[in-house]
Amino acid sequence: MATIYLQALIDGILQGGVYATIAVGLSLCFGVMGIINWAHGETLMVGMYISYLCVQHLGMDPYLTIFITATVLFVFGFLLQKFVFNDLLKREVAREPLSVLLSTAGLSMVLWNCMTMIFGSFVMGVNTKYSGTTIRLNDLIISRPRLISFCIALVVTGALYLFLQKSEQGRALRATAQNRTVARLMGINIELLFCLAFGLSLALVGVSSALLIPTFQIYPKVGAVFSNKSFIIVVLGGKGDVKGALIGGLIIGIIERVGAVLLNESYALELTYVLFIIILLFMPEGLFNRKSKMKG
Amino acid sequence: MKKLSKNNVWMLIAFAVAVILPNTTKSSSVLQIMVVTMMYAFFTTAWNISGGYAGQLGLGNGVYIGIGAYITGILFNELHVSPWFGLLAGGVFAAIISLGMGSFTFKLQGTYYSLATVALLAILRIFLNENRYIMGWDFGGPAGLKTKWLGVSFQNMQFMDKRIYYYIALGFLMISLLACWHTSRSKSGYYFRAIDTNQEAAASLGVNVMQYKLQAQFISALLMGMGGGFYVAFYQFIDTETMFNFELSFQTMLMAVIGGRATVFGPAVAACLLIPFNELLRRYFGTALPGLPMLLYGLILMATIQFMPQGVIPFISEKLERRKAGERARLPINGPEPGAETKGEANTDE
Amino acid sequence: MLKIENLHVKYGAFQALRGISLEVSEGEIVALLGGNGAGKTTTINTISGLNAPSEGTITFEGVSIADIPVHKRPALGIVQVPEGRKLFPQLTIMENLTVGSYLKHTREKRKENLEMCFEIFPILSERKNQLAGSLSGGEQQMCAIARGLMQQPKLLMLDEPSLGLAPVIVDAMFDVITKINAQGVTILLVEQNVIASLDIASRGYVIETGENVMSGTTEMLLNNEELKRAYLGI
Repeated sequence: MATIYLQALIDGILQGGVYATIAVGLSLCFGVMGIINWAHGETLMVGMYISYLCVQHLGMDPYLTIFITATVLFVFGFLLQKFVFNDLLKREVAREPLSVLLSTAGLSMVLWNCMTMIFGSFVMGVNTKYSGTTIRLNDLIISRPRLISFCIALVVTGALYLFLQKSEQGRALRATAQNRTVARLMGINIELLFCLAFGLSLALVGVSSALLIPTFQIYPKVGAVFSNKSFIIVVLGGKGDVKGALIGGLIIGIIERVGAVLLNESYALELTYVLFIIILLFMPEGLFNRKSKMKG
Repeated sequence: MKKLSKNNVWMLIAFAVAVILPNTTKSSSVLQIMVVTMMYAFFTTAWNISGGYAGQLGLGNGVYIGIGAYITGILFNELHVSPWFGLLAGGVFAAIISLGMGSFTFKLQGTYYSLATVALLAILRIFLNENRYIMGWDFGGPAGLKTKWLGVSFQNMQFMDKRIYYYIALGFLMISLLACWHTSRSKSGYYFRAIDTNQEAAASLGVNVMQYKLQAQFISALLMGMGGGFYVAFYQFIDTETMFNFELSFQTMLMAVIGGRATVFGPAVAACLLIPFNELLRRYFGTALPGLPMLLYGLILMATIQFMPQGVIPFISEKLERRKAGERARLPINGPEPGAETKGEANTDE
Repeated sequence: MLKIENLHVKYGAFQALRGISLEVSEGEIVALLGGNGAGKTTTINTISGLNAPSEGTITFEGVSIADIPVHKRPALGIVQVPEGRKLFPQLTIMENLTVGSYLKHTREKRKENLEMCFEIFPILSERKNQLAGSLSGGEQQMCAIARGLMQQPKLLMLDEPSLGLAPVIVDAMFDVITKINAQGVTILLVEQNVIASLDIASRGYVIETGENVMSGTTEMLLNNEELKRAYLGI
């Protein structure tokens, strides 16, 4: 009996790791620029379609498509920030950039319907050489592609963390997240940094989209599903917090899987939303950031 | 004061047109579009009270419409409550929930409120999908809720003649416009605009920001909930897909943004333009390009935010004003040189 | 070195500066004095580029800097230590200082500059891995000044460094400022603390509601009856 739960736990962790990688870029942007990209899940959907095309028509290994999707989405994000969002941010220096929120809401509609028009609303799945392969560990069945995806996800998230902690630009990003004006006084070109942050955020989404291909079905509405999951994870983990996003992702993955065993899949999903609202209303700074930002 | 009378003339004309319009056609489908247009005009004006004037962008505000709709529907089906009362109940219920969420999130960045409303959408959608019977009442589950047709009856808000629905919707729109107008004119309205431009400054002036935001939210959700009640009475069918789905919220928000947040009539005007446009698109491209209307809406929204942040309609009307001022300036007698007109009164950046 | 003439700055409809003029020559310590809301911070922020003047000129080393964006001014040598310290609260002291030397030409000398800072402020060395938000007011001020030094300033502008600090610490800090100046950094000191600032400055400007009210050498100012009455309560 316990094996079922252990199985669910492992599945949840493996899934959650990928969720985390999807959400961590969103968290980063929220921290650095104060914006939530409403179209976050839709860009993931676009990445999935790109990866799908590469696998289906070019016969590529899904994991190799990471390089394509990450690059394409990085450029897309960088340009979007440069030509669309930076102007909006500049306009609303004194207060919260809600216009970016609205603009990304529009973007989500554009991307979703664009893909619907091109690919139709059908659900597609890809049969890759990884699909269905498993590893057995005693009584446990571990899906091979999920395990590989998880490992790659961890590596990528870890790389992001190191980048933020140790590199010059990473440090500049963190400084900008904490005080934008003073960052400028330090000689940091925040507009360029915003482009970097948004580009990175979408690049991570690009990586994740490739990671999902072997195990997930592709359809235009999948974007909304992952947008919501990402929102939950960002709020759980606290904005701008990479470690928080990782743990948040794992939590959501685990709740989904274990919840599906305990109750059913829909209720498990419901549970994540209820958790979301509770955290939003009572602990909006996240599970891990009890202290309010200290004043410098 | 001069402006008031010019606008008054426009309003009277618009009202007259609105009243006469449904009598100009016998086509049921055209009447349908008219009713839907009025309904959306009402939804978006109600949204604007909170989203425009108080700057609380609830991207998932459509949830209040859904709540109102389901409550009205259930009360009608199970307890035989007239939709006239049902929609009031639905509105109040929605308003209370909005207060609940608002009181926790309004202190935070506006983004959090949007996330909260979207979370609520998901919670209700999944819950209603999973539980068809709640407390013994049939909520319809994923298949949706149908209200029984009991014959033409004013009490049951069931009519064969669509024109009656139209006039009811028009009535609701009037109420909504009135509420919006009152908000903009009153002290609260002044404070709202202050809140929208700089919350900290407003707070430092001693304005009780929270109170005004909650007030606006209450009215907005109340009206939207009531509108939901009308929706279910008119369509006689609702389901979780249409009610608790981002599209409805997106459309109400979109119309307000395009029409001009913080203007009273803008959102309604935008609705009158966009809904028929939507229908046209659907008729010509419906099967070939299914997502086209929404796609265009998304693009229009992004373009509006980028280039006409006050809204398309205020932008155009301002351009027309300037052109008129320029024309007046070109009068030869004692007039200043053309081009030397109002300078520097550029769009106040948000 | 720095010359401001007839600076007008607006915040929306509010006129914050109405024709401020001042000059700072190389090697000087100049004080900018005035009460709350006089426009001192606005002036400093305009020099840093955070505000765009509606009228007036700012020249640095003979060249107008009006069109130079904020993030390019530190490279010219114009460095601000902001009011209220404004350290990056969730970065350590070390990280704050390192961000201070973000500018390319300062990165080469980062190690040396760090050593210099730790020499001037030994306590920073002790606490270098502590989060900046957890320091005391005085320590934060020292860190903020050190961060400014890491930017290798030619002109260092300090905005109310004594605010909220105990007199003993203020004394120590002003000593440090003198030392920094002796090493060749020009100082523009914005303060409400008239006595302490005029103690180390050679000249001063007094502004009120966005206008120049008084200016002169320290002696002149200290002997001025109006000044004494208005700001020293004498």
